[in-house]
Amino acid sequence: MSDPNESLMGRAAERARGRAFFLAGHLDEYRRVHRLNDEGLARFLHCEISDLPRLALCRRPNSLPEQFTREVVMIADHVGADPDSLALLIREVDALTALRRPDSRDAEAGQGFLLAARDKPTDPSDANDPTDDNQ
Amino acid sequence: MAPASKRDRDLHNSLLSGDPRAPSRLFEEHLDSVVRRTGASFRSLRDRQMVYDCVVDAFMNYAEMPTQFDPDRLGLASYLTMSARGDLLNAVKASGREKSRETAVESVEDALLSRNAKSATSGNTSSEEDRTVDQVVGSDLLGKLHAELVDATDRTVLNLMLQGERETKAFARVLGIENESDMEQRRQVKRSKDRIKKRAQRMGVRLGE
Repeated sequence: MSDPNESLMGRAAERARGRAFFLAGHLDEYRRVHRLNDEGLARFLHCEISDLPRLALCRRPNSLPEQFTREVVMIADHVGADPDSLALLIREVDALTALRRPDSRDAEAGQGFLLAARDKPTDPSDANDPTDDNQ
Repeated sequence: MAPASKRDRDLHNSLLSGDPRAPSRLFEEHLDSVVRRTGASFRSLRDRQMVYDCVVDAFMNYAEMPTQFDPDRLGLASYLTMSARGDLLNAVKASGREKSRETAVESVEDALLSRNAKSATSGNTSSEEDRTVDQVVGSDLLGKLHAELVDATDRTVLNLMLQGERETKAFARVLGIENESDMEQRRQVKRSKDRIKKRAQRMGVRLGE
C-alpha cells in the first residue's frame, strides 16, 4: 500500500476489532467463519479492498429493524458496498455470537433466527426484508 | 485556544446524532495528522506501535463518547492529540521500560528547550493549541521533578539546565562560587549538575548536556 493514511486506517481497523461499537469485529468474524481473505470479503460485499478499513471503522448499526436497514444503507453507500450483502453479514455474525452465549436470552432469539435463516433459500436479496428477525 | 472549525463541529454533531458513518469519517479526517503530532512529541520512542495504538484508542474513545469533547474550547485534532499524548505517557510509564520513559520525557524537554530558545524550526511552527498541549504535558513532568529537588539551589540549577544555559559562570553564580578558580567552578558546577541528573534519572527523566 503506497498511501500511508491507508495503512494507518488499516491498522486502526485491526485495533477496532476488539470494540463492539465498530463493525470491524463483525467483518473479522465473518472472514474467520467463512475462511475469507480481504479479497474474498471485498468480493462478497461488492466493494474495493481499500474500502474495507473505512467500513470496519463505521459504527455497528442499531439492531432495531427500522433503524438497522436505514443505517446499513447509509454505511454501504459510504463505502460503495452492497447493502444486502452487508446486512446479511451483520445478521449472521449477530446470530453466531448469540449462539455462543447459551445462558443469555439472546441465545434463544439467535437460535430462532438461525433456524429461520436455514429454512429460507440462500438468496442474499432476502436480507432486504427488515422483518426478517424472529424473536 | 482556538475553538473547533465548522468542519469539526459538523463531524462532532454527526457523532452526537449517532450517524454510523461518522466514526469512519473521523479517522479519515484526522488520523494522519494526529499520529504525526503525537509522534513528534515522542520522537525518540522506539516503539512506534505504542504511538499508533494510543492515537487509535483516543479516536475510538471519542467516537464512543463524543460528549467528552467541547468544540468551543479547542479543535478536534488538538483534543485528540492531547488525549493520545496523555494515554501514551501513561502507557510508557506503565510499560516499565526505563529507557523508553526517558526518551519520551526527553522529547518533551526538547520541545520546551526549543521553544525557550525562540528558534524557528524547519517550517514547523506550532499552533497556539500545540503549545498549550506541550505546556500541559511538560509542566506536569517538570512539576514532579521540581518536587523531588528539596534544595532551592538545586531547583535553580535545574531551571538553568532546562533553559539550555551553557555558561559555567551562570551556574557558579547560583552556587555562590563565582570567586573560586575557573577549574574549581567547573568541578563544582559539574558535580551539582551530575547530582541533579542522577535524581532525574531515578524518576526516568534524562536531561541533556
